[in-house]
Amino acid sequence: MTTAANSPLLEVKDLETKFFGAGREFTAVDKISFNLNRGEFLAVVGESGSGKSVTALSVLRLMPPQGRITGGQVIFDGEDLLHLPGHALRQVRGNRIAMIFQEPMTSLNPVLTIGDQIVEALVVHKMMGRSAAREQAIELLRRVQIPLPEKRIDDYPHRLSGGMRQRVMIAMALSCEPDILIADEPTTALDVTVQAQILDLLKRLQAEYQMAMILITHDLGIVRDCADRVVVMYGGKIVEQGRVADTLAATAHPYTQMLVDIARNLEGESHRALKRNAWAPFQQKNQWTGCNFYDRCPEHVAACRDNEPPQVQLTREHCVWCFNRASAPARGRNGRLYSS
Amino acid sequence: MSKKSTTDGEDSLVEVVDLKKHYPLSRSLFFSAHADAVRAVDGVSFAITRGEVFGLVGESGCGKSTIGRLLVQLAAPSAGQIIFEGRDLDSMTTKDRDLVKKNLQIIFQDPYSSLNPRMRVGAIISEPMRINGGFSRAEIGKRVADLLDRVGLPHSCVDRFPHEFSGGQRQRIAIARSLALQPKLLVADECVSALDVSVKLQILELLDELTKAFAVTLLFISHDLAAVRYLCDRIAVLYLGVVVEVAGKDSFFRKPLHPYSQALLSAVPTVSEIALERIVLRGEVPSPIDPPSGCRFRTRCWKAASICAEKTPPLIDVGDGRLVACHFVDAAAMNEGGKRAEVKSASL
Repeated sequence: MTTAANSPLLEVKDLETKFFGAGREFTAVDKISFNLNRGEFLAVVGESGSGKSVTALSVLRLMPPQGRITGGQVIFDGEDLLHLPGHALRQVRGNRIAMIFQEPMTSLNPVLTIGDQIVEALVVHKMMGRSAAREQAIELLRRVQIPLPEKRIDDYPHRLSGGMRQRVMIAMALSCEPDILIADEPTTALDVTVQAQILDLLKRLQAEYQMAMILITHDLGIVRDCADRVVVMYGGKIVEQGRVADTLAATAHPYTQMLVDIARNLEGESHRALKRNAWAPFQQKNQWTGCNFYDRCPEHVAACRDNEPPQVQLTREHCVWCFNRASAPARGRNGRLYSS
Repeated sequence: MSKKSTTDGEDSLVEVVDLKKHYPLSRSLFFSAHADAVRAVDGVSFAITRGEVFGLVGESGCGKSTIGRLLVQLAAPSAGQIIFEGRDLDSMTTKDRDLVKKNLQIIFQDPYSSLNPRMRVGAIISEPMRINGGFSRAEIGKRVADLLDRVGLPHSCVDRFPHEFSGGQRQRIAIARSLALQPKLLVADECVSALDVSVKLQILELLDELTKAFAVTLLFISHDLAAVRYLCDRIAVLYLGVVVEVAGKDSFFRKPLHPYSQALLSAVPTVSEIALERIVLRGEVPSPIDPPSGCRFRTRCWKAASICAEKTPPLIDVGDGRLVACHFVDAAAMNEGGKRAEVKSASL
């Protein structure tokens, strides 16, 4: 490691990603910045279309043909990944920054055995011989708690259940002992009891390998369960970020508050009346130029319409992008004022 | 298994008795030895009271969707009875059954594939009325407008196509269609699973409102315990084709009795500071082709003993309208048996 221990492992600065098609463009990620520290568990939360997955893909430049990163920097270990030549980028992808996806069936190659696929990563990145790589692959499968790994290694992906496939994906991601593991909705396609197993496994492996994790999810429950820090995204922008405990206990942005209220309502915990106008999904804004959440926000003020909301630092690590918080202190749960 | 244990049959709208659905496997060269069928639903009995919202929960492959399809006659049961308003659907003539079918409607999970992309919304919603007949054009138009009002969509929608709508709006269209014939039983099969949380809550509220307004009984099938908790009055938990627990919503969420229910409930990550002791189950759901002997949950159960492999636990009444199929839960044990998973509210 060349960087000092106290500087962030990954720095995303003003990242902007757009999609182009049919003469139109759509800004999926709108100049966002965040840091990831060594060994940290960061969650990125938001609804469909908030730009959370595109952010993850942009970090590794895994863009589909219609998408293009149009600005910003992604600094990893002192280098800007966005300007790295292809061969150098391939040394980072899968090796130092690994990624697992939502649907494990489509991310595994159906015509290769799971052993072949794990061995490939080891041979390419670790320059291992095939037999040593196979031994290592079995060990990895054991680490992710696949029963009878010596036998399973020769199975094809279709013989495994969804949970097992996700374990294989995790084993593959861990094969090169990455510094960062990015998990994009890794449990969304799984049943809750299997989800609990996989989250448990991820938490344990993260500590064991001392990796930093970026977990992309739409489920605030998972955020509370797993993460140290959370970034809340809406309409391609970060609206709030902070330590999970602080952010959920003293939500500062009306959107985060809405997500928490909905979750509490569904959990039968709260009966706080929800404001209906806040409920339409995000649409590309066209009638205003200010805050993305303007049309749904129950607390919007005149300034929100035409001005970008300012970044307000509430505590050292907790900050929010909202006009309403520029002067007022953060709210606690159930609307109580939160004094720090 | 006592078939009349859930209700006295008087006020039950639908009763299902020892329902089975086995999908035979085609015999290939490799499997000819013994595999015979996927036991998707393997002896399920329950009764749904008129006007209630009955939840069916369980993980993938437990047979919950199959039960929904059997109830609305989209599939024929291999064995067992479905009794609708006191009449056995199987013993009816086809003509009679067609009349009953009007009263059985379903909403599917994916609003992208359940609406015909080449039909306009007006035609989609009015199709059930046109097929069943008995409505004049004016009546149909009025009914469609009324249904659109009820589900919160503007009248201008009738001339538009499904692709012009978001997932939540499409689900509203599907709900309007399902209510067009004013059915008595509505089956909602994972109808909020494909939606974002904010939209999910809207659809749940809408269903809650409409089931009351239309006096329709709802069978709500979901793997999402939060949604079930929000909407349902009573809940049945399925595991590998059998019912393991039936309980009222409040008592179920306060104190699940079956070990599987406890694990299921504890596995859901929550935002609220309600902490259940997390029970992480070993292994995965076994294959429904060759389910474990005795209790089907025993391979993953931390309480499993030798009796579990030998005897299938019957679904017994433990009082308070609750039924549980576990050798270790009986009426006496109910008071302390569920304690382990009792909700502890942390101080705030």
